[in-house]
Amino acid sequence: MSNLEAMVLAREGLVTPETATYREAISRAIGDEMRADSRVLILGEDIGESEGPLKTTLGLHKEFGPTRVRDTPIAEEAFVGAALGLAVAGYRPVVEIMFADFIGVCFDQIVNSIAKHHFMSGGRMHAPLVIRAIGGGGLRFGPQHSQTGESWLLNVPGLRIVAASTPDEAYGMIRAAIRDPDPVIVLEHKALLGTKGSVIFGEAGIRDLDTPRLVAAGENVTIVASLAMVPRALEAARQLAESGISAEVIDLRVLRPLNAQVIVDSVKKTSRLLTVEEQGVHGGWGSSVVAEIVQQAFDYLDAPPIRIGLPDTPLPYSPPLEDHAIPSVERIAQAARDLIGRSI
Amino acid sequence: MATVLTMPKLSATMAEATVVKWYKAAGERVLAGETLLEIETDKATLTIEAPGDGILGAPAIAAGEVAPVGAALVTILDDGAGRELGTTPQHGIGATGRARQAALDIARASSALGSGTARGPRVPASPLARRIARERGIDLGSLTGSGPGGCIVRADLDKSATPARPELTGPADQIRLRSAGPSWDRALKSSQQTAQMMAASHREIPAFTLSRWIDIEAVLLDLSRFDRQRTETDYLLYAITNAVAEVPEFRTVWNGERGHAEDLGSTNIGIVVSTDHGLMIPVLADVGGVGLEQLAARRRVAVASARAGRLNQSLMSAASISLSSLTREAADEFEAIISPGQTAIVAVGRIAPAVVSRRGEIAVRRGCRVCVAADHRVVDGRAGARFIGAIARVLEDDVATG
Repeated sequence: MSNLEAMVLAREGLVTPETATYREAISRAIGDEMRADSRVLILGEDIGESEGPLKTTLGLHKEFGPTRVRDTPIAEEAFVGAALGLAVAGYRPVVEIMFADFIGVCFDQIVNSIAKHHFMSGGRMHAPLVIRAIGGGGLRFGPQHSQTGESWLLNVPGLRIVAASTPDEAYGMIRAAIRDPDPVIVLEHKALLGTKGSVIFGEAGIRDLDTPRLVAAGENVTIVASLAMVPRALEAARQLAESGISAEVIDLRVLRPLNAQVIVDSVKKTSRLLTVEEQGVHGGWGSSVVAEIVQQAFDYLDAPPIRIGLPDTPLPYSPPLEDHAIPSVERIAQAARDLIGRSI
Repeated sequence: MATVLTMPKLSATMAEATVVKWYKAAGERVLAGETLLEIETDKATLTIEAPGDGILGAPAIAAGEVAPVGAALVTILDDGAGRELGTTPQHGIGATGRARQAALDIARASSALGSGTARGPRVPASPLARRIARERGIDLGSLTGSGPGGCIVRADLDKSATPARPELTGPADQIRLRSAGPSWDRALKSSQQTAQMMAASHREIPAFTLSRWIDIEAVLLDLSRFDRQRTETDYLLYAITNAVAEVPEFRTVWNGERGHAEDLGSTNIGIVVSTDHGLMIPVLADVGGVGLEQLAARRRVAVASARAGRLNQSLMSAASISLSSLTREAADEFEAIISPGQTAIVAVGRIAPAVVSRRGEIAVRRGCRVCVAADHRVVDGRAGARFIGAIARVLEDDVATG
């Protein structure tokens, strides 16, 4: 179900949105799927009795017990590999990677086994598993525990990679990911865990895993963002509106496969593109988005696209430096103004 | 291999046209001859067909937008190239359709770039600004940029009051601004263009004229057997097709760039039609060897289409010669101005009785005076005389015997 359809249902009173935090939405998505399908189970570090190091498996151990909510050793390569075994044996495992940074530990399992299983079995086998990775900076976790990892797997065929920016998206995309017959990486952001939002729970809340989403309409500039950069882009759009600049904000949501149509349509309207990502821009998804726009909407562009992201250094541990490194609302708004120049 | 379909020049006076509607969407497979889009020129609404089979790219000109002659409208990618691009597995970035679309857009963008006319120092301007400047005929060098780094952007073009084309300057332009409405405006523009083209023709074409009185009794006798299905115009057209066959120089047109005459490859004859929105010259294409009955049928369609302002592509083909017939009007004879791009025009005055010498006797016969104006760069007086002689022979003798 699309977000729009769900909104229509909500308006007509057919479904009732509830206010929930991002982490509650994650927990409920997994719980609802476990209830709906006995093949669903979850593995990860400290996700059992302690309900997750970042509290994203609230109530699951209590309801489903240690067999389906399984604590694992600190060995990502082993338990991510085990998840592939479970998947091909008929289960629908969900794996939690405590910090997205640890994708590095299980990189080989993901890239060389999970992503390729369907293809290397001649299409006869599927690997229906979900890897949830909680990433992102701004919380003083230092360079090794603050990365979003968004682009690390971007050019691995066989993977679908989605990124949730709101509680509603987290709930809807995790449920959709669990139902997907092929491997899905769900990226979450730890700075968003405590944020509250309106969530449609239940079947009506299940979201697509296909396309970016327009989250604020505007006329003068298109801002594409992901994860925690989405709320910052929205706040920048509000500030820009005060100075007479109308910004359109798009939540990229689905990093791979990249379906740029929504962005192409937007840039054809606004003629200006700004990408905002919480990672270095070289080899980031912003580069792919810009490339798609240059290919598909070249002569609609009224300014060279701008990509903003982290500086080309590891994220500093020092709080002032960390805050400086991550794109701020002000930096996003300024980049939008730079794109426009004096032409408005 | 991609084919770029450009805005065709469908009449001598056509400088630009508005895309009214696309019948096919990007990504659709199209076959040669299928209707792709409808355009509206200053004089007519007509459809454009696919020049070949292939996959359609994204339209470069959206419905409602105006594009000059020669502007890229859309790219048609042939199937082979489409297949080469469409090999991405299910999770790959860009499913088949998107990859193909992207390739088409690249082709489109590069063809748009290729048609750029920039020379001298490069003016910083956005791709969008370049496209709009190209469409409106604005010189980017005359503008000051307000975009990033002084780059010229769309807003600078919108602010620019630089007139797009010479015909929009001067008193006529002021009249346009005061014009009562779109239809008036359009009629004015059309007559303005006709005026310009006629002046250009008169200035540039070294024309000479030959004339001959032609006995039309045989035609009128034959015509009486066909109740309204034919008119004398059809016989005149028929005579012209035969004369062109005999004097093939009249099938060629002057190519100013190359400095010689070129054969059109088929007998294409224009008919001057007076309509509510000005003079129009629909063309009967490839009428060499076509009989009277079929010629009459095609003439009826052509005239009706012109009056309705809806000419199809065929009716706007290039022609080497036109017929301007005033057989039912008041003038005995007139010389017409050759339509730009053509070689000759046959002007026929009123049909009226005349006292003539016939077989050694004085007779009163109905006839009309035919004037042929021709481009001396393409044909000479002798060819002209043979041509008018052939017209006379067909009308006076062939019709009577055939």
